Amino acid sequence: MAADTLTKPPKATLNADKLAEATQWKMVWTRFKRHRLAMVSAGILSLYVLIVFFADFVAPYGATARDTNYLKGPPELVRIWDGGPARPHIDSQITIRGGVEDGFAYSVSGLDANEQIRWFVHGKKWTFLGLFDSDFHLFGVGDEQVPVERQAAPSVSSGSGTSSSSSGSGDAAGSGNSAADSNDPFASIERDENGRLKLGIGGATTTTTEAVVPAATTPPADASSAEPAIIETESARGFIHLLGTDGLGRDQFSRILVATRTSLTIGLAGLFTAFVIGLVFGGVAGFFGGWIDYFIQRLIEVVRSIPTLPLVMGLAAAFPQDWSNQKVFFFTSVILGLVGWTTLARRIRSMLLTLHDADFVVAARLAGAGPFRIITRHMLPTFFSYIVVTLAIEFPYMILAESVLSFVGLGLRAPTVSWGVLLQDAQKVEVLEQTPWLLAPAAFIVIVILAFNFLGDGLRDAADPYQESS
Amino acid sequence: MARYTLRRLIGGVITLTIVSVIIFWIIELPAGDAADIYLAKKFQGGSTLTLKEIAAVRESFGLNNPFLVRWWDWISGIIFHWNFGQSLVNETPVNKLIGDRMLLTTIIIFATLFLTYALAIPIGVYSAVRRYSITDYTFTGVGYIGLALPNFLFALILLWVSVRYFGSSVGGLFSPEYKHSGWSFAKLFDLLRHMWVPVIVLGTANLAFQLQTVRAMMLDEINKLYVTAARARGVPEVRLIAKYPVRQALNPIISTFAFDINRVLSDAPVVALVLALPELGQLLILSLLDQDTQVAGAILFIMSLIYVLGNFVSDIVLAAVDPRVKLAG
Repeated sequence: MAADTLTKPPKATLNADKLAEATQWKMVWTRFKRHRLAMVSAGILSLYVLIVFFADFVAPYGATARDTNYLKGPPELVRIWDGGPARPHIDSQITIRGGVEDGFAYSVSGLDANEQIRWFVHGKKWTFLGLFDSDFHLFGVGDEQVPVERQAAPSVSSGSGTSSSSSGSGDAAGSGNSAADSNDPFASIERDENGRLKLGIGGATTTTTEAVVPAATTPPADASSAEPAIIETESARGFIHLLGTDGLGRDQFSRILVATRTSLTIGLAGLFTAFVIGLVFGGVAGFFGGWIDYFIQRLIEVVRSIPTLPLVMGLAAAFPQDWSNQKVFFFTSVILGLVGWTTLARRIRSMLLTLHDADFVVAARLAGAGPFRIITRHMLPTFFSYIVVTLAIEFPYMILAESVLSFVGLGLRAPTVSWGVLLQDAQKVEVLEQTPWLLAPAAFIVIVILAFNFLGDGLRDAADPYQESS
Repeated sequence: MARYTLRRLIGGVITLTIVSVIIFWIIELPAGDAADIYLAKKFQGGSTLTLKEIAAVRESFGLNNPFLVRWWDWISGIIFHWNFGQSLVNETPVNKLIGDRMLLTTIIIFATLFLTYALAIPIGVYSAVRRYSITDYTFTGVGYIGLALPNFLFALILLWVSVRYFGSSVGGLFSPEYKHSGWSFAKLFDLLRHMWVPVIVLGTANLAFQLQTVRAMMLDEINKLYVTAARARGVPEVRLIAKYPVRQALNPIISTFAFDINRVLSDAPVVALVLALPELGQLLILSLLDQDTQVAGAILFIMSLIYVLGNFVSDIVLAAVDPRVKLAG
């Protein structure tokens, strides 16, 4: 409808001769290619399809893996500049926890061997469609996702505030990582030779041992006791959180990828159910007509009289609490299909009714073709493309319905991760205020819906055989 | 016309009857019926019950009757007394729980639709008349985003922005001081002050859709011969547009009026949940989470009722406005 405004009037890419002898699919493809937005959307959607198949590979961590040193952590920016061009890396993070100001993070920029992004790292084992196992992940930081102990940088002590007692033994432990060059990320931070770290924040200077896991190391006894206890720890090495973490320290990026797989799969299953029901009812109504048609039309009207999402919710509320996640998954898609078939049925019906009296069908009938031949050779090729278009337009509604359902807590449940389940965490204002990056799944939903809208527009224009070719 | 109205009315009643059967089926769908819940509540302490006592309770709840009899008990209460029965979870009448939520829902729906049409018609007409202008591109682009941004996400984002940058939440429909007071002009004014957020959230998608419809209809009509003829007669341009193609372009809006109501009703519950609006949809979700299907069923029925009524009105208005509508249908 409005796609024509966004794409310039198209130019024919096939010349007239070629167009005349092109097959139907070739013509559809030629017309489709002219829609730049539809083409871009198709590209984006194929990325989503790749995610569906390779979510476990692209995601650096599992959906339930926790990084307890980076709870409610903001997204980490990938930097390729560190005083000069540098290998892609993320900032070293020092999480400062205190009794009062929880989750307050201090970030230090710097290149460290363990913060560099590495490709094809080993990690959690995953299975591809039950066919083969692998523990390779597309990217990660550090060699393993085990926290690595850092070498302590030489102290740059200017001696303000208290300093901890130096036992003098430290230093030798760290060996691997040589971050101690001119680019030393911790140059601005005081350290004593024990690797203890001093950090001045608002006058309060406390010290603590170089942190490994767990995060909550107790401050040494000689820390200034007048101030509220602020404990400084460095987050575990070898974790990258492109989109931050939630309250349990689970990697948002990994979770979104896994959720993408769930949401798209369930949307597809729902669409398939709706398609089968719609094809049967629409086909029967359109092909036989008469009282059957009337009856089915009334049935469609009845189903449409109950507002869609409330109806879906009402049905989903009947799921017993003790159902397994697979069962909930299955029946959610069945419900989506049960409620969503009406549009498809209507379109298929009206398509069949129009075709029934179309000249070429009448001609085929007069030429003595049987019903089977008419349906398969004449009708099906004509309305197959319409079905594809209708499915492309309907798909976003399915995804949306599932998201809404899981979002309000009536659909998929917690260990399963879907877009709606993820957004459920962001439902409360307080949570949103503290961790706005939990809204990130919303972007994935909006992009997929936009892409499907443009794709649907492009397909609709491409599939219309009566469109004038310029 | 009277015949047509009557036919439509009968059609609506039949639809509502079947809808009520489906909704009643949904009410009884979850495992554990009213008697189970009642007994579980009553004898939480763990006293022993004989099967006979259980049977007596079931009998008194009318649960041994056939499905259609139970349905009739339910629907006749609604038809004759506007009584939706008792909540399953707490022993309050459903009517009391619903309270003035139905009124608030209706107000929200009509405010949303009013906003939608008040914006969609002029902008759509302008976009069509000034096709490919920057304004046209802007509104078409915004329209696409409006269609793609789900309501509840829009509500969430607004909520976050309001808390983050303005320090106050946009949730709710009333200020605390009016929450429990009776209706007054002050309360009405307070409602209007709070209502713009849900109305904008709910209206955006609809606006985007109607904008596209009006624009497409206008583009179809604007090149037709009767328009050219009128222009040749020297009808001033503004009057020409308003009198001829716009009149045509409004028909799909009237005929999709009920569809719009349905869309708002469908979207409202989640938005109401996010923004904490005390209206029907919010109660629907809350009661479904409690497995209180008696309340949920009542709300589903009211929503369908609103939709069917809207559909009826839109059919009648369309027949009155557009003489080409076949009155036989």
